[in-house]
Amino acid sequence: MNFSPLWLSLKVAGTATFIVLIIGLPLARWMARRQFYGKTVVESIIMLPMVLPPTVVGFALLYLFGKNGWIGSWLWETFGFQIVFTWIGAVLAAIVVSFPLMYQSTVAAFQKYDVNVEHAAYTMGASRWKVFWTLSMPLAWPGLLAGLILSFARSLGEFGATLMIAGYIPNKTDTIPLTIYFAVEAGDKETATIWVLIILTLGFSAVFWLNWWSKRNVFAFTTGKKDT
Amino acid sequence: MAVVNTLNNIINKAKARTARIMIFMLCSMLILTSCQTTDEISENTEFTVSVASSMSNVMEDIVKQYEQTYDDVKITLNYGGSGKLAQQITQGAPVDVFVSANTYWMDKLHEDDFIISNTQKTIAGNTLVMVVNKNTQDNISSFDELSVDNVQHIALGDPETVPAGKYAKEVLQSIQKWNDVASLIVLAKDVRQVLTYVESGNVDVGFVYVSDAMTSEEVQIVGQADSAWHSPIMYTAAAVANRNESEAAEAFIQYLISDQAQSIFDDYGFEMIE
Repeated sequence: MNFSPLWLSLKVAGTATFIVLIIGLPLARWMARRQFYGKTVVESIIMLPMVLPPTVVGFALLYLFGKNGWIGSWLWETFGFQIVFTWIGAVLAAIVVSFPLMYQSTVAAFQKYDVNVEHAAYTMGASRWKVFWTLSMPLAWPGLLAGLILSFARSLGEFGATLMIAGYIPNKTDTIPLTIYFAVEAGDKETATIWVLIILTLGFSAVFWLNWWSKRNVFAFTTGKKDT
Repeated sequence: MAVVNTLNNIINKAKARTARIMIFMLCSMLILTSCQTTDEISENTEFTVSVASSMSNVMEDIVKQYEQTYDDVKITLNYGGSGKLAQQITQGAPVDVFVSANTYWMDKLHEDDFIISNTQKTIAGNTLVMVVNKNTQDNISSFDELSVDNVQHIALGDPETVPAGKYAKEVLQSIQKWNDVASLIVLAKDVRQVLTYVESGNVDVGFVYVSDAMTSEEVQIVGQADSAWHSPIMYTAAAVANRNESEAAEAFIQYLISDQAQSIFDDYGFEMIE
């Protein structure tokens, strides 16, 4: 049996989660405690991929990043680089659909604790950088982790947008969900079942670990036994 | 979890009055729609036709004509790939007529007695064509020019699941191009996706049926596959076994091979049966 879909899926979901973290964390930190005109509009746009059917997201991405799309044509002319029909395309699709999950969890995490602890640290002369890493981050960590796991799980299961922009190219862009879809369509129940079990195990482990971890942490927090 | 909390907050923040009005509207819509369906069931002959996606446009037109002729008949259309439709039927989906884009899935249902075999009819044929984007048509203009040097990507339906893709593969094999261009091939889940790739300029060449090519303003047919290059493209219809409306289903299949329905097939680019 060819296991390339497993490695590809992990590579795509891993890369997407990493990028979502890099963009999502600063953005969420910045947005969490700010009010500005049009903030609701901006947040609604960020959430859109969650409510739109993935095929629509894929269609939009294809027309934006395709050879003749605004961004796609620029990338092609400037760097000679094409996103469509590559694994990078799958990463792009995963980023767009999982970003709302990361953003929501992280914003909520930064809003949850009392902002005065940060102010207190500033008055004692701590730098912004130090406050962020020694106060904000540890306090927001559970929410941030939830966002990361959910993003990873969502990226792993992404199908509609991925099929549109990455296409189905065996051994190149065949992620697990795509492999399952085409196996089911072809009536190949055996292959489909194996991959369903694999993705079930992956998704379940991720979410189970998250739930277990956060329960333990909440318990430690409420009983005062803070584990490091 | 954090997502749920945020959603709860959003709901709490929304004005209670708006929420009440919306719930009221939803309820009334539900009540109204449920009234409507019960009325229809009592008066009409209703049945469901599962149609291969490549026939969706033409079948809508044919059904409209049919319902105008017999105004006590109400047909529900269900679209999908032939494989998916066949699997729905084996899992007991409430379908009365199955229209398949190839004989493979029809034979499979036949073997397992899911269809009434004497109702099975070949209803139309189709032609496989090679299409390019209208704006970039100078890149390639015939099957001979298909090569790694001239094209970057070729889109076709997955040969394992999409009949049009299977025929496309057979064509490429017949003209001795399959091995040359295998690395350029992008597999799509249906013919519509092949068209989207060509329309958006992301593939240079796509393989679709002539009836599909006719639905798109943005593609140009540059080559027509010789029918000797692939196995015959045949659409077949049959009534599904153990259904209450099998007589109505059979009458509809008879209509599909009538001159009236055949001329509609012709208008949409399908081949009429002999």
